[in-house]
Formats: sequence, structure tokens, C-alpha cells
Amino acid sequence: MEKPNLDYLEDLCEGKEESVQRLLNVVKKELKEEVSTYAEAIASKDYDSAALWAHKIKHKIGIFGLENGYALAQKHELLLREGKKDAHEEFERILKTVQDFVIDL
Amino acid sequence: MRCIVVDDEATARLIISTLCESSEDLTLVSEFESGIEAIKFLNAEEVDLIFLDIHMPTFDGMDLIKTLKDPPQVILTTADPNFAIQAFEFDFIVDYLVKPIEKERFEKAVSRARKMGSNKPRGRSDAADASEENQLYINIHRRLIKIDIPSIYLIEAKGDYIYIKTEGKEYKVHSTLTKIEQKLPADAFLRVHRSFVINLSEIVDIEDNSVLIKREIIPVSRSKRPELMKRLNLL
Repeated sequence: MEKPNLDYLEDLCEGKEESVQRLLNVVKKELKEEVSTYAEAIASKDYDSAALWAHKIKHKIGIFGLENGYALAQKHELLLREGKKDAHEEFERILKTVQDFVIDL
Repeated sequence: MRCIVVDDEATARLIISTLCESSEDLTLVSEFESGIEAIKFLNAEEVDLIFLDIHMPTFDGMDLIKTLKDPPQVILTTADPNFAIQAFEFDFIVDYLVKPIEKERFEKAVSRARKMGSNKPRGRSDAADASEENQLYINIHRRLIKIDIPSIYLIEAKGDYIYIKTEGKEYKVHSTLTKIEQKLPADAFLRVHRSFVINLSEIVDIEDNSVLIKREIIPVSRSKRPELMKRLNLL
């Protein structure tokens, strides 16, 4: 299974530790809020709203270099728009991987 | 180049800001988390380039594009890798970037904007411009609602609000008659009283100090009557 990394952020910030940390702080805060709102939308079966939040979370999955995770998030978002949550559990596993990664940063 | 970023994601705004910092001639003058905020800014300030997110709640990137009257260049940003670039029907859209935005790709898009910037002005077709001249966008509860100007028959001021009346609807807007008068074609509308602007084509009949618009009797100020009479096609 692919592992999250900071390659994208380090490249973006040209290795400047302070800039990477500034970005990480924003990503962590926003991701936490988005995951929480996504979970609420799924619980209330509001799949349109869940698709919107999955869309935003997908960006963060991409930031941490999870290419397969990004593709799965894309598929999940499209399914949600059709009112299906078939890929929800797999998406949740990716979310956990990302959350476990950022909690240590 | 002066630029702004419009994106509801703080992460995306900070990434664009970081990318702009590493570019010599890009100055990020402001950032916005909604299209409505950006429109207010763009009405007062000029910029050369907008980094614009397509997917935003309530008022998305395409809504913003359609609202801009004299748009600067736009680089769209999206987290949808299969994004169908319907937006290229607008000449001022120079490129689109898929999130997370890679530095090399960003530089390529900006370089494209620089090149195309030298060919400005571009903008939309005359037909589109003409159609927009007949439209007015009003801000109600943070939503921009489009109204066809010819459908307006009366505007009434009451306190801090104006009531825009069309055939089927009435809109309450926090604004003044003076402000809306500036947005209306002067040959079609006339302020006949300090509290009323009328659409001249909707006049049914006129008495000494009033005018009938649809079924509403509207007072005409003594000072406004000569102008009203001058504007009518009298036999």
C-alpha cells in the first residue's frame, strides 16, 4: 500500500522548512474540518454534500502523494454524485492513512 | 502582473500564494474564499490575472466568469482531473491547472498568461456583451441573482432598501435608487419621484401628478414632470 509523503510540499516550498510547516498547519486544520463534515454528510445520507467534501479531501490526498488514493477519491466523488456510497469504506481507509500521517507532523 | 486567487479552500489559496512568491513578476494582491467577495473587489480594482477555482459552493468559478464584464485573464484551478474545458469558450481563460498544482505546470500557465496578456484586450463576443448590458445582478443573502433589465417596470425606495419589481417577482435589495439608476439604461428608465424609478415603456397613462405603471399609481414630482413629458412620444 502506498504511503503518504511530503515530497510535494517540500518541492513547492523549495525545501524551506518554515514554509512547509505553514502549509502543513493549514492543511491539517482544514482536513480535520472537512473529514468531520464529510462524515456528518454520509451519516445523514446527504450524498451531494458528501461528494463536495470528498472533492476537497481529494486535494489533500493528492498533496500527500497518494496517487492511488487520489484516483479512488475521484471515483468515490463521482459515485456519491450518483447517490452511491460503494467506495466509502475504501475511502475511509485512505482517510485514516492520511490522518495517521499528519498527526505525527 | 497583479493577480488574485479565488478559492474556498485555504490550502489551495496558500499554495497559489506560495507559487506566486517564487515568481518574479507575480504580485498576489488579494485572496478570496468566494466569488461574490471577488466581484466586489474586481468592481473597484484592476488585476491582470485571476486564479479561479471552478468548484465552490453557491457561486462557483463559472458563475463568476459569466458575471465579469471586462474580465482580466483567468487561470482555472480544479481538483477534477477529467475537467471538461467548457470554459475555453471564453477567450480570456488562458489555462487550467489540476490540484495539487505542480510548480512546473504553474509556471507554464503563467507564462502563457504573460504571452496572451500582450494581445489584450480579448473578452467576449459583441453579442454576449450586448446581452449582458440588458442584465443586472443583485446581491440577496450572498447570492447574485440575475434580472433582465427590460423586465423591470418599477423600483421603489423604502428606508435602506429598494424594491425591484418585475412582471413575476419583487426583489428587496439593500441599496439606493441613486446606485441602481447608474446601472440602468438612461433612455429607458426615469426617476419620477425621490422614491420611484419607472420603466418608461410600461406607462399606461399619466395624470397631472401621477403615472400609472401596470396597476400601480406612482406619484410624479413637480420638478420631474417636465423631464417625463419631454421623454414621451407626444402627439
